Amino acid sequence: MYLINDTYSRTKFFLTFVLIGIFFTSFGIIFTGQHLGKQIEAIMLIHDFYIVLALVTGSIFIGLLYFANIEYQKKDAVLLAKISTLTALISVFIIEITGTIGYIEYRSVDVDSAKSKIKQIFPLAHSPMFETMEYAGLIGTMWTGLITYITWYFKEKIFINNALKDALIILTFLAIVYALFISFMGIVPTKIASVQG
Amino acid sequence: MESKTRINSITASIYGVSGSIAAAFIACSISIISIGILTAIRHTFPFNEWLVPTSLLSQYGGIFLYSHLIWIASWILLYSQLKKRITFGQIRHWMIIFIGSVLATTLIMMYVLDWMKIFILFIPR
Repeated sequence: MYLINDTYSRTKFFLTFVLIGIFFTSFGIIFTGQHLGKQIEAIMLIHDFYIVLALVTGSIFIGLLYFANIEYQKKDAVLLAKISTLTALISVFIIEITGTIGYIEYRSVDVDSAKSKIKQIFPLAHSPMFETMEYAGLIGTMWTGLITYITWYFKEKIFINNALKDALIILTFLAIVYALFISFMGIVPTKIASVQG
Repeated sequence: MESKTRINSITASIYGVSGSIAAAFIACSISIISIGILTAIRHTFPFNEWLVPTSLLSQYGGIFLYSHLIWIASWILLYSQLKKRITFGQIRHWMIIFIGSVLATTLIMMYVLDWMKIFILFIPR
């Protein structure tokens, strides 16, 4: 409290703290997976962790647009908006990469693979549900990229201009709803696989 | 007070955006539509071959690769063409186009991936 006097420094301090936390959590999951010989499980845990992180940063961004005190804490609000959108964008890239690694394992021709088991137990969970998640999930990069670009381009104007603020709130809200819909498409097959496996 | 609110709402509704922002919206919409189209034609010759850069990922790998390439290439191209435009359309219009492209792609996917099989389960017999 005595070391950090102004709010901007405090915001930067908390952001650094959170980002270090995210890095160590990711590293910890990978390390544990390697140590226990459960690499694919660790990758899928990373996948889930970043899905939650993207959803949380999206919600923080909407809250920030609604409640930020732009008159007195403009620099803090802009920094938080920039970092939260960038975190969401990086998260979406990690989600796609880890999802792709998981997909290679999922669609293995082995009779014990998740795809083979799901097709035997509940074929609809693979097609259309899992396939919808695969293809619709690709939209996430473009969508998050657009929100991030608008935020970094307009900076403090996103808080001042009502049209921009409303557009970003609608875009982020719809992105969260869409992400939850896609996540549901993935939950059904993975839960079936995990129960049966 | 009332007139100030009216001015604010009028300003908001006609807020024009620069060419670079319009380029970002258009590039995103094009790449999102491309995902829907590539999903629809993924089993059709010659796309069933083109869309398989690696056998490990099947057509998913191609849709991933080409949709992202379309996104980046169209953004670069549109940005270079539109960056000097001070205003190019209104944010409301670009929002409608973007949401329309997401909706169109989702509907294409639902049709192609045969979601009727799921909906039929909810129809009482």
